[in-house]
Amino acid sequence: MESRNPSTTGNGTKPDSIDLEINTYQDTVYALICLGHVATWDDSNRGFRPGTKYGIGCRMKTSIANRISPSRPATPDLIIVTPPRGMVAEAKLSFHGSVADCESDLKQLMKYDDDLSGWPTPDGRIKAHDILLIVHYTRKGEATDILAAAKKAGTFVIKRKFAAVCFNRSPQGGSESMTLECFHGALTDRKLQRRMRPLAVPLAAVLPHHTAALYDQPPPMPLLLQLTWDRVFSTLVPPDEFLEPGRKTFSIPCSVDQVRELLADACGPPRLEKCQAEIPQRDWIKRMFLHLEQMGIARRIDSKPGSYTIDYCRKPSSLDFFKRMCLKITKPKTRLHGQKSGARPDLPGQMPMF
Amino acid sequence: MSEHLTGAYTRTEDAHALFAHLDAALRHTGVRLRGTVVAVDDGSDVPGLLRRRNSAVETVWSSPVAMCLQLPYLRPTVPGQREASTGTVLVMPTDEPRLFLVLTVDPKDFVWQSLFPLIARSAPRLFQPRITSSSLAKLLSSSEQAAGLDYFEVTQVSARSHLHERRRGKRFRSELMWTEESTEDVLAALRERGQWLHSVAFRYRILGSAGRLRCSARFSRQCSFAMQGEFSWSYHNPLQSMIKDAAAAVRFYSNRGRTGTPRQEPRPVAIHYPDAVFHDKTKLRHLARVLHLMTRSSVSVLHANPYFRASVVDFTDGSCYDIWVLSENSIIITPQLRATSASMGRVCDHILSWFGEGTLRDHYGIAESQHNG
Repeated sequence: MESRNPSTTGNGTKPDSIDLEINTYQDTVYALICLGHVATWDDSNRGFRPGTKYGIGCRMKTSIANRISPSRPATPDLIIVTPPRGMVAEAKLSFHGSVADCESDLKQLMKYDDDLSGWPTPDGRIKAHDILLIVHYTRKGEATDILAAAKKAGTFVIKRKFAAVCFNRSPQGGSESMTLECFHGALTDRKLQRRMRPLAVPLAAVLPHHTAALYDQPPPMPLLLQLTWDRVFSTLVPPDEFLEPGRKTFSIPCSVDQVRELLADACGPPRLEKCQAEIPQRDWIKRMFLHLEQMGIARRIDSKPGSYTIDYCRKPSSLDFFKRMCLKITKPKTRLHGQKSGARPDLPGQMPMF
Repeated sequence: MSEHLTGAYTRTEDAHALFAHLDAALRHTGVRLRGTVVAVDDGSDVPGLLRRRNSAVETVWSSPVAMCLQLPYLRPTVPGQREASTGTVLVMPTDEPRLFLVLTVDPKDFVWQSLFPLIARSAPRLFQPRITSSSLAKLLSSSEQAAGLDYFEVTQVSARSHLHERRRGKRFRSELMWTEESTEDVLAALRERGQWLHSVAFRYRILGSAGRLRCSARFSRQCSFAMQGEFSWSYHNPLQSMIKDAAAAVRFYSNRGRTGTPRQEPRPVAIHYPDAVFHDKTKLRHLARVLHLMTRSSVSVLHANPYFRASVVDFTDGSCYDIWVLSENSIIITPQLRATSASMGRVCDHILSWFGEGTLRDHYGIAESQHNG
């Protein structure tokens, strides 16, 4: 998912906006997981359909005949393999405005209208695939209008089957659910399309079994810091050392690559054979270390490029700590770089408070 | 120290002789035998693990039935003053692999100021397993029905319950009750009040060849215990019940870390409640408060309402968990890459004893899913 609102890259300057960014990011991850589950789950046999799989953030390659970007890598947010067919999905939470505003998003979808290679199949190819656009429930109406207008104007031409799905997290009958609704277009899998009109996926059945907390977009910086602090740095201290007398702070030497690998294991999507994209990306981790350095928590090891010493200690709440610290080190911006006047937030709830 | 007390620590190669020594010490001196069940995370020996935290721990003797260890402590003499002394403990293997009994007839100060803190510092490789309120209730029922008794009554119960009306921010009530009731009556009263057990004490009379013997014992959910009057009956009855449940708990909590599973898949557990406790969304805030009460931990609440998600790091060994509330009647605990048996027990017991006693079981997730398609 790409965002036109720069605040979703982790530069929120108000505590509320950081919370919203974190919520939005997490909901997108939950929606991708739920859609993958639904597409591979067989309700009649109460099990996964044999041979099916799905992956978050997979690296594929376009063909030479691609209209948008020939012979280039493409990384859809979600791929679903249900032999002999497949699906490619892209989450666009900020899909709103005019056709011109959404031009890059539409082009990205058209890029997937190609004989993509790199599928997690023995020959890396699949017979045919559908293309899905995922938007938030609040963007359903606007998305329908934009897609209709773009098709009419000829700016959105897609040969393969295309559908748009919206998601919304809400309580359903006492448990939290992710509602998925196919509101535009058609899928080859008619059964799946019928099920998603709409379909409430109980999160209790799906999320605790998934450890993926990241997808192909950078998470808000406080969330990335919290995940690394809690799930990665804690494993870099041997278990026996935590209760050693007098030990409150642990100096952990580590490198960007080592932390990236560990974070990929701890919070990245399950690795889907060779096509798994690098999640988290090295750049996110480099930026995170710069933040830690600014906070006085990380020290660069001069003799080893890309290596740091972390002063790891207990924080009563690491997320709250990093939210505070990020607010401290991020200067409030009067005008965000690249933001057009009157630019709209990702979701209606993210209107700035004056 | 009297002859009987020193006799409790006499070197012996035979379990019967060891039990006889301990029985004699308790019968003739009136002292309390205190101790705990401990679990060892790997195949290490208990003295070695204790010595890693306190190099002054010495092995006095070792035999197939027990080990006798000595460890230093500061004994209070007059108020405000202490003198260097040593305490002695016996470490006995149990029928359950990885579980041991640590026993002493030395004073309470030694147990609470030296022995138990040393065991707590030895985590995660040596730790006290945790049992539940229902295990304590089972221990009481089985003890009352055990052979060889002509009298049994519950004398003290420590229990907790929810406060339906919030008073000064307090959401639960902790009570210590003195009573002289049968197990059935006590458990019925606890059920009626919606309380769960923290510890129980009872007295009983044993019919033996030498006449009637008045005894008492106390057991807690941290697997610590104390007994007075005799040891053999307690060992074969309530203590065996506790050891079995502790072993089941250790097995349940073992190998939950994602590093130990194929493809690093999580093995979540769920605490189920009979009622829809989270229908009242203020209970989510209460759960967050309860998690923040856990010592040596870091709790980050990622989402608090209408669903709950928190990341918990246990700073006794670096284990990490995601805590979820996604339905009205259960809390799901998803262990992350590192989740030791000791830490799993600590986190689950903290929620069970401070938020509310529920039924702990594996969370199977998708197999139970009810998609409404």
